[in-house]
Amino acid sequence: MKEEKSLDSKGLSALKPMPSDLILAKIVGDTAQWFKRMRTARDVLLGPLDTTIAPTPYDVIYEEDRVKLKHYRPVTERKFRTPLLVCYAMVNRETMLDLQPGRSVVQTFLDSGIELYMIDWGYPTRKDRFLTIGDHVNGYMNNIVDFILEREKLTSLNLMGICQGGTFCVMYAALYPEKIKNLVTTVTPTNFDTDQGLLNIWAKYIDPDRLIDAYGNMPGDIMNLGFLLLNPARLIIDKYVGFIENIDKRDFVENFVRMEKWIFDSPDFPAEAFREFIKDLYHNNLLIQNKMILDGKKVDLKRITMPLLNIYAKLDHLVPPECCDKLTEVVGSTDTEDVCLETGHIGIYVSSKTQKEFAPRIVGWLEERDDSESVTKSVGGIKKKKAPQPGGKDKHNLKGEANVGVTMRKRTEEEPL
Amino acid sequence: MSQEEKDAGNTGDFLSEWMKATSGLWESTLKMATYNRYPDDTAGGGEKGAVEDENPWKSFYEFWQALSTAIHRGGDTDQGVLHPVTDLPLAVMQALQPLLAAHLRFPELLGTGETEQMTDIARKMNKVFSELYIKEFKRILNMPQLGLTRYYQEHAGRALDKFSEFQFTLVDFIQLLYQPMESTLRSLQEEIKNINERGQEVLDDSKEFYRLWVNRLEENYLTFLRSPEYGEAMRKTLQALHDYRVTKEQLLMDLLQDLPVPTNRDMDGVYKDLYILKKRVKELEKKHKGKGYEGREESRLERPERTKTDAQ
Repeated sequence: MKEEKSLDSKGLSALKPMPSDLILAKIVGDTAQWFKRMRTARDVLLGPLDTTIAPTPYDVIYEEDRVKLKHYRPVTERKFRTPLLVCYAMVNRETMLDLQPGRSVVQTFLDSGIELYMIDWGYPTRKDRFLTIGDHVNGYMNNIVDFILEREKLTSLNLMGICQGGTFCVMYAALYPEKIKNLVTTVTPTNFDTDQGLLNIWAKYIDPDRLIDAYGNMPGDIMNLGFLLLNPARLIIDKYVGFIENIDKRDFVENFVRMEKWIFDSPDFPAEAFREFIKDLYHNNLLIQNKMILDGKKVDLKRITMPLLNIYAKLDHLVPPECCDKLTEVVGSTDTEDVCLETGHIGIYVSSKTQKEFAPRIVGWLEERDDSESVTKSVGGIKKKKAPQPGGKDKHNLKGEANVGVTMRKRTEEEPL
Repeated sequence: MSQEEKDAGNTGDFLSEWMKATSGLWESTLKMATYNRYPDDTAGGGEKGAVEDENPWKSFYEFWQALSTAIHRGGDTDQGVLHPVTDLPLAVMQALQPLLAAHLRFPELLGTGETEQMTDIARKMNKVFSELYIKEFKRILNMPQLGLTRYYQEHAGRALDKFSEFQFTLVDFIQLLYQPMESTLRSLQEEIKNINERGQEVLDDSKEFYRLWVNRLEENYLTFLRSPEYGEAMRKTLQALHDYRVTKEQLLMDLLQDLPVPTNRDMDGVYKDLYILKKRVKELEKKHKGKGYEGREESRLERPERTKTDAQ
């Protein structure tokens, strides 16, 4: 990486030149190495590979149309009284949270004693084209929450949203605040009026009506093509060059294929919901202005009065920080926290660096706000703090300086991992 | 003359007319190019012969004429495009000869000098053919249709028209997408040239060179993808895609209506009914159970008691 930086800053003139008569020798050496690597690669690719994704066992305990509710089987004693419902985006699949052993947000939650539920949005077909955002939030999500509350004999649960699923969670929490005990949003776009992200720029040129006319639902493959074009040099070229360079390493190949499986497993987006998402959010930015209407009900973010943890990624090219960091300023809650991690949109969940930071931080934050007496130890190295009282005072501001008298609204910028 | 020969003759006449028309187009393009390159020379005035000799468009025009002649053989339909499958490779080779000569003078041909990128040239070529299509073919495909089957003919013509337009737009979009790739390569080539001129030596490590290339490519793409030019090209491509798919869908529906196969339009109607019915059933179910949004307060009041019992 250091070499890369020096090349970038100084340009080719900084490179050491080599005598031209050494080129041939170098090519011969490289070629021999290449053939050796290819021989090993042949054994790796033709041999048995474990590319299973989402291996953690679960039961489907609720189904409605194409939507399912997964309940993950506990692996340890339950330490949290309040269960956690995870709502993934309808773009791509929730399997990303359980990509492989050792890089599994699901596993971390289960190991921490969280009762974990997850919404599986399934694969929308043409018959789902008339489903609106309201049908998803007021319909499927609300029914699932009711089902869990009934099952757990509780009045509220913890809700965690991911990317566009987080946007649904924000809407849900504003419409049904009494059912949400704590809200966690991760790389969740709520402010769409920014030129920081390419998607925000491109959306201005997109007419969702035409796309829907042409396709029915918005095809996952077209969305994926758009995501690849966000950074063609890395996602179409460099990624596969990296694969070829490491093609003889079984672990690398297995992980690479797992990621490929996940990336290109892209359900279509229901047409009406897509139309609303582009027009109401990307074009008109209604949500953050409290102007969004779902099924005739206004989504007022001031009604989000429960504790809110808002995590986003500094290097996110899909949902840049500016899309996320306004949320805590507009909600009604006094217990909010922004966390910006030095990683990307997907890396926040799957990179080895963030495995020790992302999920354990959520566990720690929920632990502080859970009323269970069985919670006794800190998780994942996160320093345990006394659970804040509603309307309580925080003694630290952004820089960690003494700041008595400030309400519990923290904004923290993480150091690079 | 048999009916078949008559038909062939008619087709030959039509092709002949079309060839003349397109030759006319190229001729006028040649004149325009001449005027644009040498605006001080009035057409037909000055040293006209010298100008024509220097004009690179002339090679291209000659290519077109050669191609027209080779394919059509001057209106002789027996030797024309409809019959001589065996002669076609030879004809194409003959025609390609002047094209190859023209290709060597490509930058000059387009009057933009040596520094023009190949993608720009390719885009201009695509534009030329696109304009040719619009002037010559599009009108034919959109001619008013008559009679009982007029709607079906119209749908088929439109589908073909929109497909062609989509292809031109897509080619233009792809060529545009290639621009950052080309500019990155060019800038690196310049640097290598400078290094060679300085020390007559080459780069040490190909991996480092690749890293530098990919970093620059990424930067160039990130700048390019934010540009209004890209946004506009994307919008046009999506619009062309929409137009093509809608007309194709219409054509497919025409074809499927005689088969016992439901069309998307049929199914969308069913799905819409199903959607409305399911929504109504769910609402009624909720009202019945007292668990609807309106009844939320009621169910919320009941739950704490159960929670307390559970906690005990």
